[in-house]
Amino acid sequence: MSEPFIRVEHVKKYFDAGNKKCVKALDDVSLEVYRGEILGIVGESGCGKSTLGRCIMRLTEITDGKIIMDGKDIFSLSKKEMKEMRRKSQMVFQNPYSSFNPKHTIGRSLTDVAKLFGMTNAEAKEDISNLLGLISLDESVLSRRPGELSGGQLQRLAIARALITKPVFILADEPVSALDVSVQAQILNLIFDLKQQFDQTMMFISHDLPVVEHICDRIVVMYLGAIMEMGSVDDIFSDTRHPYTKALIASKPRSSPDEPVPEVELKGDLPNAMEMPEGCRFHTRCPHCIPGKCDAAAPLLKEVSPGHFCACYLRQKEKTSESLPVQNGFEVKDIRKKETTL
Amino acid sequence: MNNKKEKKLGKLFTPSVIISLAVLVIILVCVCFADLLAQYDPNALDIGNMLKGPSAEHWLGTDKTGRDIFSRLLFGGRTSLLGALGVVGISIVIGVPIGLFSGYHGGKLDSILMRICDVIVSFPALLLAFVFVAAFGRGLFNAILALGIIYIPMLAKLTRSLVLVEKNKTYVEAAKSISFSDTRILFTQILPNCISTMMVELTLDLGYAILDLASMSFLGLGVQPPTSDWGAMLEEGRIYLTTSPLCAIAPGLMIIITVIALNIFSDGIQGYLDPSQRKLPSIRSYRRLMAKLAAKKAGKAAE
Repeated sequence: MSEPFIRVEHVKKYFDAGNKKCVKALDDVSLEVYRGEILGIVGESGCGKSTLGRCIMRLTEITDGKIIMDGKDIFSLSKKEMKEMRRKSQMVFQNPYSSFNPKHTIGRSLTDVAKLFGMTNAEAKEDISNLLGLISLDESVLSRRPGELSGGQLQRLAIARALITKPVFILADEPVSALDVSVQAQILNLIFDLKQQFDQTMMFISHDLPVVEHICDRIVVMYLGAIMEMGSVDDIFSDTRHPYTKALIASKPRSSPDEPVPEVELKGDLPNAMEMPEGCRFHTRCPHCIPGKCDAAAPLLKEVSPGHFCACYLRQKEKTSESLPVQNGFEVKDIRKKETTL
Repeated sequence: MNNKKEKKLGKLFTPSVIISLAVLVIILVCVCFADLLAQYDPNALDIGNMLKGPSAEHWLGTDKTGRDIFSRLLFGGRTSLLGALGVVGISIVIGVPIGLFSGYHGGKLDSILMRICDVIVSFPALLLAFVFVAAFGRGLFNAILALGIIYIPMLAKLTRSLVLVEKNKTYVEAAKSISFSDTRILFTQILPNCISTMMVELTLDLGYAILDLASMSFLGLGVQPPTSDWGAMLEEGRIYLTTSPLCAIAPGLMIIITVIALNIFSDGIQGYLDPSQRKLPSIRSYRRLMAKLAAKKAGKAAE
């Protein structure tokens, strides 16, 4: 594999919550983003996906660890070097409606970016009209303000804004979750085109598994600020190791009633991030929890097959095809059974 | 798009706003063209004609030294309005940047600045102004300066609270991720989105500034004779309230009309900018609601 563009090394991000407590939004996260790949980050709300994104963009300081982008630790860069780094890495935000200044026209928002990176008026104009062609929008949008455009248009413009600086890396933080389904497809196709045409390196944060499966090369599954499983799309979807990943995949909507019924179903909410469970952070909701082991010490992220990492005692050795013993206290719900009794 | 704009403007120009705006414009025009409109020199003494009632020569009569009240009103408006503008101007120039920086950067500097503002706000405004004037001497300029300083915290706090809301919006984050400088983000991204709300506060402040300046002049701490000023005229005319009431009533009315017009105007803008603060429901709709509730109750009781 090629050289990683971003290397996240043991990053911790704690938020002070007062009373000498802290929320561990990111707890020892390490991962790599290679050039030319789309890395998907998935997990429930509040698992630290967006915090990780904000750390990588240096929108917030980290508590501990290192983020190395293009060979340089971004938290030790000077303002000038950081500006150059920001040219190489751009971000697309979740909410397209508020990611443009409501008082400025779209044209101004876009040319401001171009000019900041030393383009002349003419160059900026040409670049922007090229980009508008790429995102298939008319030049007339340039004279509009964000309030007059639809979410889909704005998100496409946000992607265009990210592309103005010709970045090496784009971080997309749930770029489609605020849009309705018909518009989601447009944005996803646009992202897919970028990958095909420019071999764009991307990090795609999402909680939508089918989407991630569709566009990503590798996937990182996060839970409560830590990585549970990491591997290629095939590894994650056809050689699922971690019970949490399994539950996530099971929770994706089935497209027909004939599809197999999920083996496990997640119950309850995320534990309070201020009082992290001892041991494996997933053990409170895990159907395969081994008392005395899982709630004592957290399993480490270990390579189970080349490029495929998993943080679970059970799955690290055993083959996935075997079904695992279910511990007492957890009932396996079979939805179909219920339906038939009705 | 044009249609949209017209619709928006239509909502802004409600009858009350139109009337208040018209009144303000008339006052402004009269004050600006005081030289043309006044028939007399505002400071020309005419001892033979003192304390006269309204007549064809002197529309509003004359004061204790025979000066034409109408002319003095026009020129006095100049001092009052310019003074008020000065007060608000000082508070904008200093208060807005303080609010912007302390809201955006937060931290210790923010706490210190805001505590200082709290201290200033906790004193009665005029009392503090007296202290300033006592320290620096009487005079219009010092009065404006003193009031200007007292108005800073209110504007700084307002700006700060607006910045606190805006700085967490995605477009600010986007600007950061594009590596705009902090100053640039503050002045080109955040400030434009705060101005509309600040306008409401500023028009209100203008009204208060007129009142406060008038009070200071009334107490002899602001404008010094013979310069005409609404507050000072009020003070001079006060003694003759029973014999020639227009001496005091005319400047008093001008102050009231201007302040009320400013308040109504700022109310209008506020309603236009923030639909949630539109008028309270009318008494009639309230009665209708009560009638409905009563009917429901009666219906339940019948059941």
